Amino acid sequence: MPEFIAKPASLKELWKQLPSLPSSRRYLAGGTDLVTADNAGADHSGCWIDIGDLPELRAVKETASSLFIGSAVKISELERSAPVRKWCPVLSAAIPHFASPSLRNMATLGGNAANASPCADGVCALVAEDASVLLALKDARRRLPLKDLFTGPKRTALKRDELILGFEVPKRPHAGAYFKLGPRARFGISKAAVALAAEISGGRVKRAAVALGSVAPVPLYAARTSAWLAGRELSPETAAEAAELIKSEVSPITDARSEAAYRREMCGVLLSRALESAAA
Amino acid sequence: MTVSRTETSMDAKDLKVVNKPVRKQDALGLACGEPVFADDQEFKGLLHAKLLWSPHAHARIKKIDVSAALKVPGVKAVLTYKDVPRVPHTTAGQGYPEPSPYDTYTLDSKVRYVGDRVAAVAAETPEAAQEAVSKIKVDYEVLPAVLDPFEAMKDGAPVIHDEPDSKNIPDARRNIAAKFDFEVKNGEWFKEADHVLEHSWSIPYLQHCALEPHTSIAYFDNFGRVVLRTSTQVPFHVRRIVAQALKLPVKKIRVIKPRIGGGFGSKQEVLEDIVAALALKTRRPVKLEYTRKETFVSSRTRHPAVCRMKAGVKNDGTITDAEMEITLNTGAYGSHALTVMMCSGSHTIPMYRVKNNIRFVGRSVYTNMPVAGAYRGYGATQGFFAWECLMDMLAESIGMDPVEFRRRNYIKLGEGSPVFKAMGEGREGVEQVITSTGLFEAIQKGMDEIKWAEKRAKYAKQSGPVRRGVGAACMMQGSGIPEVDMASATIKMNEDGSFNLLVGAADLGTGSDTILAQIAAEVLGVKTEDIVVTSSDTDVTPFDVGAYASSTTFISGGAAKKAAEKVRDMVLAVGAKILDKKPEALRLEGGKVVAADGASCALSEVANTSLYYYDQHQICATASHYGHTSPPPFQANFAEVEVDTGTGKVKVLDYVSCVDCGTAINPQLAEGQNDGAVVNGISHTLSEELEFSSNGTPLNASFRRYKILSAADTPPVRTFIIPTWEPAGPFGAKSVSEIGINGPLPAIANAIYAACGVRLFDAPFTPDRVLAAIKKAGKR
Repeated sequence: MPEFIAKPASLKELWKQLPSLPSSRRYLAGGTDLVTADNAGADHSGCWIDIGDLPELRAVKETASSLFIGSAVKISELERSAPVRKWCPVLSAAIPHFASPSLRNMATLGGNAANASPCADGVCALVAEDASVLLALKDARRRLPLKDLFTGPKRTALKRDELILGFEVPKRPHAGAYFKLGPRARFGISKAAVALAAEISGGRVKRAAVALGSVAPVPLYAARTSAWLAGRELSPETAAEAAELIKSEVSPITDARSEAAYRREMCGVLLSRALESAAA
Repeated sequence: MTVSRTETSMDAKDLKVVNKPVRKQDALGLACGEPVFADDQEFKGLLHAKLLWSPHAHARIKKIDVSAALKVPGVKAVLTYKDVPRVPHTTAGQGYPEPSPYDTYTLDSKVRYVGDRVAAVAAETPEAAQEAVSKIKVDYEVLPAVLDPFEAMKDGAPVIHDEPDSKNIPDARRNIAAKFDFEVKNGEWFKEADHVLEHSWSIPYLQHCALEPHTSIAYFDNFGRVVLRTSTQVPFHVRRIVAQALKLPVKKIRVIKPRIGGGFGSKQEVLEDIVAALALKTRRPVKLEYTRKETFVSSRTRHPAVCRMKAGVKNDGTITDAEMEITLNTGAYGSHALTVMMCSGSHTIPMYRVKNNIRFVGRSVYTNMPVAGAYRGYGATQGFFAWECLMDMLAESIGMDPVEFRRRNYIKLGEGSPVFKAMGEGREGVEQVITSTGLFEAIQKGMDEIKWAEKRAKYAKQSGPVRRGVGAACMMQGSGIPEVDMASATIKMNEDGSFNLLVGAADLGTGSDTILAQIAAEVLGVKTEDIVVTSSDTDVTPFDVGAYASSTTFISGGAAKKAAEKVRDMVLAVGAKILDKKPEALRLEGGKVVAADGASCALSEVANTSLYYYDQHQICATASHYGHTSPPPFQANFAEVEVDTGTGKVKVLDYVSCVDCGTAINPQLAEGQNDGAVVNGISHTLSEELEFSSNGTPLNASFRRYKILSAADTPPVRTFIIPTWEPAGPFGAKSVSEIGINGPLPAIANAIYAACGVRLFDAPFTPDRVLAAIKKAGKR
């Protein structure tokens, strides 16, 4: 653990304190990635800035057209949030697969995104939800499509000291599904995961967004498959064709958790099942 | 010879303390965090030990320079092979002389696997010790390594034990650490068989994953003797083997086993020599606590095995011939190499009657891999995976229900097997017949609970990607090693009518202290709480081989019962004087000596009389016990699974385990132990496997990467105790600790076959592997 942990009471105080803090600093939210990395000797920061209780990051807010999810809201709070259940069916489907109940009491979506692991369940679901990420660095604010935040394994477009304020999900009626294959029921990192958001009308897909975990260097937005699905009839044939297409869009690797070929094949199986469940 | 239950003088229904779920004696203390484990005591001036482990699978140490390590502030000692006696020994904590080869040295100039000991450091802090370890300069001559047992047996393979002073290695040049062949020949092989089936089954490297890592503290008593406070299953073997390895007299060592956080066989291994050597060098207390990674790599594992079985069957269900050829990978050292291999046959082949020919061919082979050792199941796990899957295949070949096929063939009351006599543990066994069995009832109960007939019919026709199936497997184990394992107990009486029970037996979380107290309490007519148990201290308690071979209830329980009977007679003799009756007319009941006419005196009066008033003496007795037979517990296992043929994922929906352990001394503890064994086995089946790189480096030696089942993954496991009465056991008891781990691999494999028509031969049944098998068989 670093020798210095700062805990500003507000964003304003954070920006004021920032220049005086040690230069090798990192933000700390739930700590489920950072503290683990530290325990494994993989974090060498001179300072952690605890943003886990910043009021600006702790809220879920509804506007007329969107839902704002603060970056430091605990995953278990999202699990209990009525607007999240209503407007984020993919995220709601993903949460039971997220780590374990105990970790969900600590972990946050902000941390899940900033850590930028290709296997992040929460992020993968949010990408399918068409979420934007809201970033702040002092007075400068910007907004990115969440899928564009990730530039590589554990790498993001975040600038130095830039903070994730939260995520904005457009309010739209849609179906959602999240299918994950892991080594066991809890405390398992996925071998492959598929998130699907689909606006369905009269047995047809109006619009779809497919995102995948653990099968590419980043939480992957499957642009081609998503586009191909638009306008298709929800049928076993569509599911089978989409399954073939998705396999060409992913780039899994063989690692300690699984084989590349198995992962690629599972993307197809999981997507066709996600489509079946959306049709049901 | 036929012995039936009715011939015995007692039955479980007469019992007052035994066969009751009394509270585990140490439960409250453990639950409240009392400082009871090896690491929970503080020692003034304690040094911390760290070891340098080999980064090479096979290498000679050309030069080792510890000068920089010794300069690290706080470092008190650095030991290399130059600083310790060179004594070939085995780390297998077995009875003397151990049947394992003497091929291990406290430290050696050669390293034989990634994770082998190179040097040891003791320092004021763990950090200083670790820093010193990193400053030891070693110049290795890297040697060709061999990781596969079949490659290791070939001519020209690297010879792992080329040192001249190792002993009892049958064929060091071919890396054979142990071999055993056995045959019963009654005519031509497979002549009568209508069908002959053959296949190979394999089990990978598995680790015990006891919650408490190996922890030992060596310190000195007031007389300068070494005291080892250590997490062991075998305190007396630790004393003897450490004495041997360090050339100390046994009298200079005391071993204390405190509470233990699980062992499962991994702590039947004597690794305490190095911490004792560091203490002797520094004359300070020294602690060695393995990290989880060290526990995975450098403690012990299950012997990976390839077991080929071939058997013939007649259309009427008679098994004509059976052949088992098992090759175990014992890793760099031959700990338990012979005995695990022999148990893979001796515990399994007698399970079913084989009409004509039986052959067993066993090899344990050295490789440059982590060292295998004892692990719950002890060879029977490997053997039954093959035998019980093959039984399923044989049943199918003649179109018979697999449970019915087993029923026709399993060993019955009064029956023996030529295997019992031919194959013991490391030597000839003993002739025995089955003197108690509840397997018939166990099978019936299991079929009812799993709804066997209904589900076999229902699942016969399924469509869609997700399929269900039910599978069965039966097994037996032993109860101690006959005419090898010995245990003893001492009981002495106190003024208040309570008793001290001193036993060498090692409770490693199993509850043996509690059940031994129950046995003594039953004989002495008192409550379990009136028996104060002190166990596993080589200075204080009488000898016991330790907790292994499913022996404690049967062997140590026998000793506790005999000692209690001797004490009972002494109590009755004093009671007779007090009551002025004949001892034969008295009995012990409710903490009193009671006469037939109702006259009685309290045990406290007996104690006070003997201690202070009349014919003064301490009421105290010691008794020893060993078995002439090893009555097997029996078990019927039933698994219901769901196979996702799209992803290959197998889910266990229900698991029923019906176990005949004779009288369960404490039914709640027995159930718990069986539940634990079953979950351990399901974890083997679905998930566990230690993986290695091509140069023998472990890849997943952590709980992050080596996946044991978590609570959320644990399927419903239902244990049913099927009571029987074993005449040779204390109050009719047999063993229960190991048998449960052997069921899941074959039961689940057979259930998977029933679900989707695919047989799996290589554990674990991970989704990738299951899917590959499904595709290969064209069963999608």
